[in-house]
Amino acid sequence: MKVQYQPKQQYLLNTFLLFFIFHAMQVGIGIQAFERIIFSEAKQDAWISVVLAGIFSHVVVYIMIKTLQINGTSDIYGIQITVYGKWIGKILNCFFIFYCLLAFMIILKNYIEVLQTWIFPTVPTWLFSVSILLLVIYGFTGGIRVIVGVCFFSFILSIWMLGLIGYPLRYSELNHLLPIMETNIVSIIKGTHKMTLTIIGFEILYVVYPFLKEKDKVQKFAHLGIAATNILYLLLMLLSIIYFSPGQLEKTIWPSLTLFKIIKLPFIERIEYVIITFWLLIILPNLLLYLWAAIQGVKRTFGKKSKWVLLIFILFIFIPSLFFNSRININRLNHYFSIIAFYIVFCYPFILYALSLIRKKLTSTMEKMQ
Amino acid sequence: MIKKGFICCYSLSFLLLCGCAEPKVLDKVGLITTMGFDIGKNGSFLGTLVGLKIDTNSQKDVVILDSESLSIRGIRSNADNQTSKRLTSGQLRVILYGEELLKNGKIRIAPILTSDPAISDMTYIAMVDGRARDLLHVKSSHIPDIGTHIYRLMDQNTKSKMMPLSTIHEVLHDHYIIGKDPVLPILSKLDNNGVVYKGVAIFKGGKLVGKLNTEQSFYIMLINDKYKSGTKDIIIKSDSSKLKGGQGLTNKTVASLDSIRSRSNIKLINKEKLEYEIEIKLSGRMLEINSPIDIGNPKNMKLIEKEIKKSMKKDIEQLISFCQSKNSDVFGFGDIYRSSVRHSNLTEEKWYKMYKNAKVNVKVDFVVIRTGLND
Repeated sequence: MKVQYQPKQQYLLNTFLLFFIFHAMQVGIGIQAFERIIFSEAKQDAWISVVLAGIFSHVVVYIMIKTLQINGTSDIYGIQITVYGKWIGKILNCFFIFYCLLAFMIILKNYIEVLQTWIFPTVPTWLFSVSILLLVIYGFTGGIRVIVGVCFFSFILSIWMLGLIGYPLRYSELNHLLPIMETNIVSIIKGTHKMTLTIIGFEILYVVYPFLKEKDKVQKFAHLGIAATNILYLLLMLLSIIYFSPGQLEKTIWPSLTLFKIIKLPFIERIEYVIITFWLLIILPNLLLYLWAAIQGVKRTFGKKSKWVLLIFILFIFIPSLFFNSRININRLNHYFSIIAFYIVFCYPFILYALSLIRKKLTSTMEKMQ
Repeated sequence: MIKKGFICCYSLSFLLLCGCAEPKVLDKVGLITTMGFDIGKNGSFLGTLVGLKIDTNSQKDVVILDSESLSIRGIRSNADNQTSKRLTSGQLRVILYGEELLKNGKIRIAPILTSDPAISDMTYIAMVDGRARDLLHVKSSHIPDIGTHIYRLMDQNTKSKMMPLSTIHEVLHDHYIIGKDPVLPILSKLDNNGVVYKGVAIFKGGKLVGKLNTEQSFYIMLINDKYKSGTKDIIIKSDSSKLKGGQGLTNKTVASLDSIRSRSNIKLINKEKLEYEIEIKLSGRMLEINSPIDIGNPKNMKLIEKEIKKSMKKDIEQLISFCQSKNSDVFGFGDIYRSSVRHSNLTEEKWYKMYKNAKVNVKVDFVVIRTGLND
């Protein structure tokens, strides 16, 4: 396979769309439940954990972009092959593909669980799976430009939800935030670690990078996108701390959704039902881009046609999605996935950066010697 | 080829249109508006449900169902046995607890109900003086629907700040925090078959420990909440000869305040000895005072303000010492302690021991803004 990858002109994207890609990818399923998980570690200082995780994600993205810039216009699949050689590179590429599919499944399973607990307790899992997967197939066949379009609209169409924050704010008590920095540093770091599942999503840059038109603006829009997500997370974390009492927050599985449970509009008494069904629009770009990244990986590594790969992957997701139905199993799945994700998203970029830096130095000295 | 695939997909997508979820048609369900809980025999719960059903043929669309079960959810399922229309709890507005139930510390009914996503967090909770069942069986010509009546009564009084806000969220919030106890309004049955808001119940760790009347509950809200418009009759206990009562039927001096605006602040001023300072600023309009004093005179006005301040301070101090004697922290002193002392590691037990001996200084600042049309 070719290491350098230059997509055709008509598939290229404006770089500012990276903002929407990042935001849409990061905001997904984790945002519904992260407050409680972080709070159980870091107590009222949980927001510090969120800030730390945000800063750390900025650093990781910076390193990611640096890695990509060293290697010209290539994606992670190309870089891994240049760095590790053909065979190890291919195996690692398979890992990344598998990771993308796993992420896809986690999002799908969690969303279906929310639907089943809140709104449709009797509807079987397979029906949700099938209908969402059909939608994903339909979106995927539109190509990368359509997928990024979905990211854009997912952001624009869901921005109204921010306005609803005002309702729970009326019943909040700022006292809950005090005293600041009472929790020890270890617990705060633990909380930061637990942010993994919520904050991941920006690793998509590794795959989407060759498609961006102006490469010099990537840093700017990538960081803007991450900053927007971080601010949103921080807002929700603060709001949950001041709205719920500690005992309540530890018992609530989806604090972000429960926050909306008190909103009563004259024409609709329970807005969270609308929000939960609307959430499909928020997770759709996640699903589409992860699937696209996986299929792109197969195309780049093995040069296979995407039509059959798509079918196989969809089956690969659909069949396991029928299992793991209980809350405990899904929690366990999330737990293992967040461990994998932590290493792939937060640790691996540094290794890859170091290795590609060494390789570049070596090749340039070799050239000089010749 | 493309056409074939397109038609295939298109027709397959129609399959998605068939509803698989359980439909809830308004004509076929009974909407529960109020649930009452009491203690039954052998540790079971007695439930009383008030529901609405849409039925064109029947004269009355309110149903009141009695059922008994060992679990909270079981009450609804058992009540289903008596109805022609399946009961749903999405329109639940009020949850009532019988007094006995709360004496046994069974406030946990509300958290059990909240795990049902159909129930809104804005559902009101109240305690009934006596049995909830008796209250819900009140028959009166001017109350066609007891469930909606109780809801409106609570809603109206909560909005005008006569009643403390006691939604599921608020009660659970205070219940699950260390260093604050919830309050619930008390509803009672009137002799002539009406419902009346009688006062406020105070708790210690989920257990009913005392009752306050509406006079005292005003001060709870004065301290815990902000007033934008409230009303209050205040009895002035004064030795001043100018403020002798007697114009009315009573020999007490009563001033009636309304449009009350208030602001309060609780501060921890001594961490070791546990001393608090409550600062309350309020202003209002005085439309009535049953004393022959000339309120046009600024000097007299000052006197009235001073005496009202004094009376309020006395009332508040009495209220706080009553709550302390019952070991119920309705003002959230414990939470203030937790938030201002680092590494306090506050636990319920530790706090209740400390709370008993806490000293509270009350400062009241009151201004009469105007006296209506007459001087």
